[in-house]
Amino acid sequence: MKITKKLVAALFCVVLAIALCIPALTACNPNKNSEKTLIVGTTTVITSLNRLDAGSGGNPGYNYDVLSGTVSQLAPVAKNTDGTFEPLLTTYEETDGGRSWVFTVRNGFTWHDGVAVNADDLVFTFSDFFGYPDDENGTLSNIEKLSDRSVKLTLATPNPRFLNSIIAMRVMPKHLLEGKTAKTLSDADSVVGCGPFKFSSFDTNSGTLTFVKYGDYPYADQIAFDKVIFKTYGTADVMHLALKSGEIDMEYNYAKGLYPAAEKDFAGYKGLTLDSYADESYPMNLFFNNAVVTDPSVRKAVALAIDYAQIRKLFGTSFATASYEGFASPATIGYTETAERTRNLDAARELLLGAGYTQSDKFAFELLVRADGNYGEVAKVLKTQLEETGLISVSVKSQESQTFLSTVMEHKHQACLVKLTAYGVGNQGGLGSMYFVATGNAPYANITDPDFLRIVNALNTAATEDEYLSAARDFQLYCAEFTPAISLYNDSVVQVYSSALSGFRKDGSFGLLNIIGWQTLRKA
Amino acid sequence: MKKRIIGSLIFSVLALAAVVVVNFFLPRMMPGDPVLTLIGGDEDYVTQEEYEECREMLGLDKPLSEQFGNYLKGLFTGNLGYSYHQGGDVSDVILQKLPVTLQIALPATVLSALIALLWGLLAGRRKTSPLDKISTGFNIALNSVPTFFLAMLAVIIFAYELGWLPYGGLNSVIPPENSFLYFLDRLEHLILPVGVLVAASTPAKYVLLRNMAAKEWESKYVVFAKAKGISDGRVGTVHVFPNICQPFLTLVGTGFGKMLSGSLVVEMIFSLDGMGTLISRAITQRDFPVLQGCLFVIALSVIIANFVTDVICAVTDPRQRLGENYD
Repeated sequence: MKITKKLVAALFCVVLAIALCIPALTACNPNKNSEKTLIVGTTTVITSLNRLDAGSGGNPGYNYDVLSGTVSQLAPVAKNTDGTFEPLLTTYEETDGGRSWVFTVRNGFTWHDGVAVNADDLVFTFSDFFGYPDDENGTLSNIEKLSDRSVKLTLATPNPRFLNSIIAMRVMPKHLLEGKTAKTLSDADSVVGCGPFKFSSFDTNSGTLTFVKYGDYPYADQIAFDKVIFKTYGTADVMHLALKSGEIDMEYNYAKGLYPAAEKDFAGYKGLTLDSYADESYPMNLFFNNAVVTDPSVRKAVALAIDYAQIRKLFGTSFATASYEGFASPATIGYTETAERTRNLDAARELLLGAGYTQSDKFAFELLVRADGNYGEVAKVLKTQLEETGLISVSVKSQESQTFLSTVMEHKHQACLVKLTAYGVGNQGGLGSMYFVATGNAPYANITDPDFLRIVNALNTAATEDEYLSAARDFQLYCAEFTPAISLYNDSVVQVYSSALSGFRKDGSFGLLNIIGWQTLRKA
Repeated sequence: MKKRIIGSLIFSVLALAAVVVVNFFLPRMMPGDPVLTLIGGDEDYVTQEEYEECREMLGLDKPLSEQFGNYLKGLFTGNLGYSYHQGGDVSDVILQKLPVTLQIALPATVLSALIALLWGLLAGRRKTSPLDKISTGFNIALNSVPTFFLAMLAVIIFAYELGWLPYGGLNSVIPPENSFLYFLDRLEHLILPVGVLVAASTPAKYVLLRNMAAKEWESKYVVFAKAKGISDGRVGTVHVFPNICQPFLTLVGTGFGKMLSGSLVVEMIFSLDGMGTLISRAITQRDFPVLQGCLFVIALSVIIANFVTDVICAVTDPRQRLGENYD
């Protein structure tokens, strides 16, 4: 027995010694972070590398497709935060009042397998993206190859804002993807891009997606980094700790900034920089299904019953500002000044009483929210605020994202809470108009009013800036008068990164991490 | 003993059969298109071509008995269906995620069992002593702490404040190229998640073993053994433990099954892409094929674990091992 006890004790000591030595031995790892490696923390989950299976957020390849758009895959053009565009993979030329567009591949761009990017790739991508020629009511009426590197698109209707539609359209290599489906496309072919970094590895053990510098990129000599690593974290809280301790250099999630609580936590933290930029995203919006909640005075009453200051304080960052009756934020192209949204409970009650509602017969509606994010919390606060009128009763219903979208597409909702991304707001006619019409991609407001549809059509087809601004003004005046939707607050996107980084370029769609930005981004 | 083992085997097979039948019928009884349910797709995103392909693949136009036969055949060949959300076979997805969870669940199960065993026996031997009171109080308090809190506390103390251990993942962002260092790197990354799982699962086992041991130490045969001069250690391990091991081993077995599916919080906080996160994602995405597959795998694991513990109990308990010859 004494021998057994000694044996156990000796074994215990050995195990303890190994456990204590592990961190020291692993510290000998020569592969440490350097100024030529950028490690980006993200909570984006990569399920698949298949870019043909990336149609939307529910598809397995979507998240990889989005992240690769910041390092490896190029759209034809890039959008700045002031709404202007600049060439990325192609130059562009608009003619015929926005009906015709000529895109020319810029010199020196090659795919990561060495094949030159050419007009065939543009034709292939545009055809796939716009469903041409199979989509009879589609955006494009013709695609013509002008030369080895140029294509001409003819739109079904003139659209000077057409470039907004393609800022997230990653050009695809025809020689690798033609004839392939999501099932037959190999990962090796799927990850081939033409950007400054090429795919290197996807390691599920360490949760990393690694890209290495592509030496043949035309601006490779301006790029300071040899490697970009996206490190996935299960929760944002742990990612924040990792940033603070220097395990990662910055955080990035597509179309998302820091939550306000995290912003407050990072404010003044040594070694980290908080940066903000106004973009066209709308952080939180209440859309009525206008075919169900038909009385504009009731919708206006709901708008008057909301305590916007409290909502901003609870859910906005320190950059949050008031929203306006015209729905659009000042950062949106085409913004027209309308009255600021404020709370007026008395006016709200007056409108509801005028509409025939009483304390025993309240205006009751169901507020549909997505189960992810903080929509549920916002909905609860709204419910409390609205029920303070004594004449409104709100029930909150939560659905996972795909079910939520199905419900909205089938127009079965009464009201919903949504966030609009900058890409979505700028798409088609801009101002988020595509979310208002009954036939839109996500008909949150489900409007069929012919007057409104005329305004949206004018936005979509405006041939000059003046025509567009006039239609934009009409859109906002309509929103102010009929309250089809309520923007709860405006906000900037706040992101955080190590103070060792400098030279960020802010992109209107991708934020701080974007293709052009690599040419100026540096790490001390 | 043979009777016990055979009985346990029959029960395990029946339990597995029940799981298989429920697993087969459940998605077919749910509202909505069974094709979309069985692939976890949504009618807005699945193309007509994909729909027809999946319908043929699933054999939904065939009689129910033939579908069940194909389903059983699929189970035996490892075909657990196709997931639209994952873009691949469910069995492939589970085979990717299961090893991650096993790397934390297996060591945590073994370690928590060993710690609870030694500690519980010792505390039960020294009932009402200061050691017993402190240990039992500590374990009861630890048992009341939520796992997510333990995990976050571990991350904040050991990763953030002290910088001793990594935040998560199974390897470093830039792992060592040397195999030995890579292995040590892996061990280093497992310390915190395994430690948290051990801390979360040990208290229940400790309390059970401590209470049973405390009662058993007062038995006459123990008094007789000590009167014969046998040491406390030998009495505890050779005489007391076999008489109290059954519920303990059963708890260890079912605990392993729970860890396979219930390690979601630990996996999320330590950024491990295992079964827990797979199940969580499948629930939010309504990915029924993955949920079905996970249900089957976890049920199978729990049934096997229970059977193995039943066998071990039968072997270690002399009353069962010797059977009718015992008296």
